[in-house]
Amino acid sequence: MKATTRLGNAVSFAAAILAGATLYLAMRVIAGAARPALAAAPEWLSLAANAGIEEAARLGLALAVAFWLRRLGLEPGMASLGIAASCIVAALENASYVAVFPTLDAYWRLGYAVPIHAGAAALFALSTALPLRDGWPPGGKARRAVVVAVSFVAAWTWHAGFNLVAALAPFPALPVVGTALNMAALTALVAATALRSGYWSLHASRRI
Amino acid sequence: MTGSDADRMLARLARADLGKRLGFRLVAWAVTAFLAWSLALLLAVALPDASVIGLSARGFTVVVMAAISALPAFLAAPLPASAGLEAVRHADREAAIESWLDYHGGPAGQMLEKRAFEALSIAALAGFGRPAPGKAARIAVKAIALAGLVVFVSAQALSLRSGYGVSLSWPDKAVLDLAFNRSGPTAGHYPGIVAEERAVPDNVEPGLPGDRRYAGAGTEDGDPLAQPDFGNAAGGDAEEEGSAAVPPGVRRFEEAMPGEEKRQTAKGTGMSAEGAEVRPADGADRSAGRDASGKAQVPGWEGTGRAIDESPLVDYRARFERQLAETSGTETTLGSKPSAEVVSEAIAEYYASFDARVALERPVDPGLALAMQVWMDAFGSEASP
Repeated sequence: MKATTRLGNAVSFAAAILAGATLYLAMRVIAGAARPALAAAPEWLSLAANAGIEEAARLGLALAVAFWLRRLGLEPGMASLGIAASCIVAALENASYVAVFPTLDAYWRLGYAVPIHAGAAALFALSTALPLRDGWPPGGKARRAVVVAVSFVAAWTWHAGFNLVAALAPFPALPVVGTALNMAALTALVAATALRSGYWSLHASRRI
Repeated sequence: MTGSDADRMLARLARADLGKRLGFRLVAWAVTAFLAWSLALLLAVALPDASVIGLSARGFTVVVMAAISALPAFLAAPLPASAGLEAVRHADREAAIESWLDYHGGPAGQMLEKRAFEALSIAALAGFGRPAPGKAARIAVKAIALAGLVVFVSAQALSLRSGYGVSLSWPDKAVLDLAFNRSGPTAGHYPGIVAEERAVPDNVEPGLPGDRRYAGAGTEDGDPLAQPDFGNAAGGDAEEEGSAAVPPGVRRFEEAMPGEEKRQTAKGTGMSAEGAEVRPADGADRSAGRDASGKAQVPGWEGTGRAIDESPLVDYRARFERQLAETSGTETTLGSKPSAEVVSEAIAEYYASFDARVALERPVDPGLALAMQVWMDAFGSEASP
C-alpha cells in the first residue's frame, strides 16, 4: 500500500514537472502570438497584458487539474501540485533571464518571480479545487465561478503591479520591499492551502 | 470554559501541527538544495566548461536558482486529507476531542465539549506532540544531507587541489588557464627574451599548488630556476657541482675565515648561524658579500665601490625573472645583465593581461533594453554587473 502511495506521489510530481514545462511553453507561445498586437501599445499595457496571459494560462492549468481530480476521485489536496508546476515555470523563466542578463542581479528574481508564480498557483488551487466554507458565497457552481474570477483578478493585479513597478518605476528599496511582500503573501497562501487541504476534516466539523 | 475556548484550542492544535510539518519540509528542501549546490560546485570544479556535463557560470547560477525556487513546491506538497484527524488522535488518547467533533446539537454536547477542552489543554501543555514524518522520509532526509556533505567536502578538496581556493560559487578558471597558456603568445612577441618552452611532463597538472614555488619560497635542488645565473662578478663563470646554493662571493668569503668561524657561517647570507654578522678574520672593514676591492659578490648586492649602496633591485629582478618563468611555463633568457629596457619590456608583457578589456555586444530585445535602462537609472552602480 505504501509502495503504491509512493509510486503515485512520484508519478504525480513527474506529471507536475511536465505540466510546468508545458505551461511555460504555452505562456511563451501565447505571448509571442500577442506581441504583434501589442507592438504599438504603450509599455505599461504590454507588461500588464503579458501578466494577464501568464495568469490566464496558469488558471487554465488549475482548472484542468481540478477537473481531473474530481474525475479520478483523488484528494483535493493534490491540486497543490499546480504550485510545483509553477515553480518549474519560475525556474525556466529565471534561466531565460540569466541567459540574457548574466549578472548576480538575477538572484533578486528569487524574491519576485518565484513567489509571484507560486503564490498565484496556490491561490488558484484554493479557488478551483479545494473545499469552500459552506454558506459563502451563496450558490453552487456560481459560487465557485465567482471565487475563481476574483482569484484571477487578484493574481493578475498582483503580478502586473510588480512588473510595472519593477520595469517603469523602480526605486532602490524595491528588491527588498518586493521580496518581503511577495514572501509574506506566498507564506500565507501556502499555509492556507495546506490547512484547507490537510485539515479539512477539522474545518468540516464547523469547529474552526 | 466556553465552546469558543475549545474551538480556539483546536485551531491552535492545527496550526502547531501544520507548523511542525512545514518545518520538516523546510529541512527537506534545505538539504536537497544543499545537495544540488554541492553537486553544481563539484561539476564546476571537476569538469571543464566545454565538456558535455560541465557547468558554465550561467549553468551554475541556473542550477542554484532552480534549487532555491523549489521551496514553495516542498512546502505546498499535497497533505493527506486525514492530516488534521491524525493530529487530533495523536493528542487525544481517550477520543474525547474526536467525540466532540463528531457530535452536533445533542444533549451531551456540553459534557463532550468540556472533556474535549480538558484533553486539548493537556495536549497544549505537552506541546501537542510531534507529527511523525514517516520513517522513510526521515531516512531520506538524513541520506540527502549526508550525501550533500560528502559532495561538498569533495568539491572543496578538489577546488583547493586545483588551485581555486575554497569555492562557494562558480570558480573563475580563466585565471589559471591564462597563466598556463601564456607561453605561446609571449614567445611569439618576444623571441629575444623568451627561450624555448620546456616540455611539461604528462603527469603534472597545470596550476597545482605544489608545482609552483614563488619568489622567496626557498631553493629546490636541481631546479635551474631556483638559482638564476647572474654570473660571477669576479669573472669566474664555472661553478662547482653541488654548490649552486652558495654564491661565489660568499664561498670565497668563508674560505678566508679560519677554524670555528668558518663552520658557523651560514650560506649566502653573510650572517653566522647565530645571526650575528660575520666579519673577515683579517679585521678589514668590509661588508658581507664584498671583496677586498669593495665590489659586491652576492646576487642582489652588485656594485663597485662604496659609492654604490647595497640595493635589492638586482635581487628583485631575479625574483621577477623566476616568477615569470614559473607562471609562463617558459625559461627566460634575460641574461646575466639585462638592460633596463629589456626588463621594462618583460614587465610590461607580464602585466599586460591586467589591462585586457573585452567588449561584447549581443542583440537585446528593445523592451528588455528599456527595462534595463530604467532599472539602471534607478539603482545606478548597484545594478551594474
